[in-house]
Amino acid sequence: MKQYITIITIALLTSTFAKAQTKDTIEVQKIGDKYYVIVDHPKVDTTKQFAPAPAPPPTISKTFDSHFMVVGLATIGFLNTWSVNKVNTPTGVVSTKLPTTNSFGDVAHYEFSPMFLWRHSDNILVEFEPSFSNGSLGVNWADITYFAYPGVILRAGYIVLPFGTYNKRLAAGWICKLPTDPVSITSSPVGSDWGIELEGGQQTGKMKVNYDVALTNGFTLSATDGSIANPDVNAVDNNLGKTVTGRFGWLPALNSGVEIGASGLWGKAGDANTAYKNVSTAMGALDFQWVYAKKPVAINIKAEADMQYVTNASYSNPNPPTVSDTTYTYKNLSYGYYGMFSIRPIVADKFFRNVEFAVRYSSYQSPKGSAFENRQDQISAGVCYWINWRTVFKIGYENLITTNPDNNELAITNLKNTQNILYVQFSVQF
Amino acid sequence: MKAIFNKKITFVIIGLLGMVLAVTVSGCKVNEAISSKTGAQLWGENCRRCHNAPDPNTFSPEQWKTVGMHMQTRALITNVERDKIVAFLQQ
Repeated sequence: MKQYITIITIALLTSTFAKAQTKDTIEVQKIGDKYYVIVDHPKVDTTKQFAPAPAPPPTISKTFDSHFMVVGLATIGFLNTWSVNKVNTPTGVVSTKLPTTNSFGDVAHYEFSPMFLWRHSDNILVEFEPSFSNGSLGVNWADITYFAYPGVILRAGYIVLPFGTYNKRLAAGWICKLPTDPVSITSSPVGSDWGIELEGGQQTGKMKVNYDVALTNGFTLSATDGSIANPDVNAVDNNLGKTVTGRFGWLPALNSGVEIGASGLWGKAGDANTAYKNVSTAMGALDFQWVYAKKPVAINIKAEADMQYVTNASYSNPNPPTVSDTTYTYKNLSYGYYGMFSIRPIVADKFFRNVEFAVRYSSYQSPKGSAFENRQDQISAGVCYWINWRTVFKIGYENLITTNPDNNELAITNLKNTQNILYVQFSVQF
Repeated sequence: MKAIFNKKITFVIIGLLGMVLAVTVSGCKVNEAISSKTGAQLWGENCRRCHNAPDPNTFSPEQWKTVGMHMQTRALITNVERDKIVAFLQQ
């Protein structure tokens, strides 16, 4: 009997508590800037506990300190190449026609490079641009930029060297008006390197000037032939010396249409603790641009001349003419230049105002007497159709002549290779 | 020969830095014709030094602010120019 009474009592209490839990709930709500306690009970008129609903807050236009975005560029294309090799022999010139090739996305002429931009605050920007091109994944730049004062910008990381203007400003496929880069640029070791940078622009009366100075790990010297290379992004500096690179730009015109720049680079390149530890590189460049736009045409002229000097050293001759003469030396001086001209009509017709014609000549001479001596002469011409300001379709033709000299001491045989290339290229900034 | 070469390079670098400093200091006084330029004018003049002038509708106002900082590091425009161009593009 006691058991029944106990069970019934527990059941009644449980049901009472359960009923209470379902009926008497407590809830806190925020309405406007005040908190309200709402007791949801059948005996309480909850509507009396509410103040009149406040008006919604006005819409405030807010700017945020931190911001992240992805932009970038993509370039794809098709090219058709036909080539001829010519060799001077005692009996005359021997000409050999090479097989014609054509290819979508040739390894040297496609690129997919998303650029990650993170604005940390009004003064700090983080940039990172990986790149899929030349058959591999690489990094174009990865740096932290601090906008210290007006005209003073500090940067650290993997930076584009401030030498000339092409690499830093004009190399992107959607900016360059021709499908290829000039040979004077592609043959130069200048690229990106780890280091720190100081740069800025300043108004001076009616003119403007800008400066850009960097301190980086520097180039590496090949102990085999004395050639200079830009180190890989993963490379550790091969010596204790750092490389100074700088450019000074001058914009004399009121509308910034003309810019003249001078660049210099100096630093050790040889490996530490070797016979080449004191071998240094010095480079210089002059660049020029003129941008003009007035009906009925827009004209764009760009030019850059570079030279590179490496201090003298002796290198092992892979094919010595005599047993005792196993090393050789040469004046390690190379130079190159390019000049580009483009014209675009400024007319009412939509089709014609989106068309731009461009021509360019470029030449590069590697050191005479070296094992890698050659001369390249490149003539490029093309037509761009601008689908919008950052999307372009290009058709171009290029004639590239590479000449290797006779060099009996290094067992090099003369060769003249002529390449004719037709390009169809599509490039977009996103 | 090497010492002379090193000296020459040092003089060139010092000369370049000296020019930068001299011109920067002397540039405190900005010409009125420059300072009165609008963002639209500066957008048309400076962007096209390297590429076509961008369509303001391409990015949002927040994005333009970030893009403006990136482009300043490339074109080395002044802070005043950057701020005016970004303000124009944000409209």
